[in-house]
Amino acid sequence: MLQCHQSSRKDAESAKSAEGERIFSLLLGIVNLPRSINLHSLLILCALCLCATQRVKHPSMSISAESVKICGRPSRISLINPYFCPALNFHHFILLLKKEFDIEFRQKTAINGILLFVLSTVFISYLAFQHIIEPSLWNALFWIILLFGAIITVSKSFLNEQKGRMLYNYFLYNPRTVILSKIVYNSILLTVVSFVTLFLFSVFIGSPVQDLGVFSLVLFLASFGFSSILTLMAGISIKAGGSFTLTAILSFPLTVPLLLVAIKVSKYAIDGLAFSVCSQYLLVLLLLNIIVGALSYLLFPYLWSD
Amino acid sequence: MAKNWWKILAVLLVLYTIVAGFLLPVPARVILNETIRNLYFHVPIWFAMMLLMSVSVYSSIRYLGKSRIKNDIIAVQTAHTGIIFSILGILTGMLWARYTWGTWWTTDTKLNGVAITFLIYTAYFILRSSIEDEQKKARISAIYNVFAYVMMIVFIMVLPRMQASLHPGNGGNPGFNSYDLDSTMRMVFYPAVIAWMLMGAWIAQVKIRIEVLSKKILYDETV
Repeated sequence: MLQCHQSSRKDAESAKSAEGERIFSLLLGIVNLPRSINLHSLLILCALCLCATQRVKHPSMSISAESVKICGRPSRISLINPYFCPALNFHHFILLLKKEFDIEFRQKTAINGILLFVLSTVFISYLAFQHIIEPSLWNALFWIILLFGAIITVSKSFLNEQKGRMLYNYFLYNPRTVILSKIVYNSILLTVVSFVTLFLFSVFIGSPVQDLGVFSLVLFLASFGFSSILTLMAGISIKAGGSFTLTAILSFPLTVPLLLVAIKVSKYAIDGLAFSVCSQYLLVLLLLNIIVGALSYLLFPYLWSD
Repeated sequence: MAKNWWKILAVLLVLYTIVAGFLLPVPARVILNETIRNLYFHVPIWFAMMLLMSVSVYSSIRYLGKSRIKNDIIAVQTAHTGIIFSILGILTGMLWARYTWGTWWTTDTKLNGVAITFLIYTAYFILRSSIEDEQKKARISAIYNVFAYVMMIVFIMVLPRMQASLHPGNGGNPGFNSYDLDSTMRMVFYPAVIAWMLMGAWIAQVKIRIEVLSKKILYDETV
């Protein structure tokens, strides 16, 4: 539909013959659209998501009002104000981010576990392949290892939250602050992991990457995108009983669009193509990131207020 | 009768689509030949699937706002019907591809996107079956449904048009409407679109009513 709006607007400017029919077929969405219009449609989707993040009312209001109604005496409860919701607060965001890092530095389970995972898988591929010259094979192996690593890393992110503390946090922080801090923390973690993976790959298997700048840009963007999808999915699977399999099942298909574009650009970076070739796909990757980030940001409060 | 006229219309239009779709003359094209008749089945079935999925995501959003279990039932049953339609769409597409491209399935962005969409919605049903509590199940699956729908749009509407694709209407290929859809084909194609959409709506409605009734019998409450 989005593409149709865009293209029908464009058509109104240019085409004159058979207007009605043409617009109708545009509405059907089977017309051949130029590639640029497609980027526009992605942009519009992106803008819609961003608008929604600004417009959508916070759900906790209705939920807590409901729970208070069950209690029966809404006016007596002064401590738990049904309309109380902490605002989105930058200070809280920093605090939560710091908390995540503190826990990580104290326990060191997540980062050590993931590094061991990456090391062992890279070593196994080294034993199997010795040295990979074929770029597409290298690329596929790299992204598969990175994807599995990302899922293992992020699926842990809600395990630390015990039930009582969730309730406590619910009264302290806005859920959107929580999801933002988790996404940022996970994306920093994933960026570190992806660069370590790249390093290990170049040590053991060899690195055919010619344009390292574009490749690291792809790694940054992909880490952010993965972390925003996987954090929400980890939250969902924790709420649904907390099995690792469920996280994997839910998030594999959803990460594929990002992964496809990332694989394509990283192939370009490996081949050392000019930046002008990659730039369009980098833009697409950025827009996809914004879309999935906005969706997680938008949907997490409904999960949180359960 | 006043309420059910659209069901009769659906049956009549589907019958018309099948009879006229196979019997009326079509423009003769190289390679395509008679397979062009697939336009009456494959494309409208996908439109119906998109319609059903849109209804599904709409009622999921409604559920997140209002927490009424009826909306959840609508969301899941329309998604079920949408999956059935997408399987039909894949099958008709495969049949068409066998006679024009020469294979049942090829590595193509559109085709892969459709396969992944199928996986996404299967994951949606698995998620639903893994949660016991009724309200919790509805809420969490509604969240997943919204995410899944946006990803589906990215997958089957946006990405295939950006990369090389064999599929008509994608990746620089002309859509059928640009030169093949002459007036005789239009006479069947547009009724076919309405027919399959109405059919989808009808199937979904029956499924929703069965579900609502079973809820009523189980819990003795109006949903």
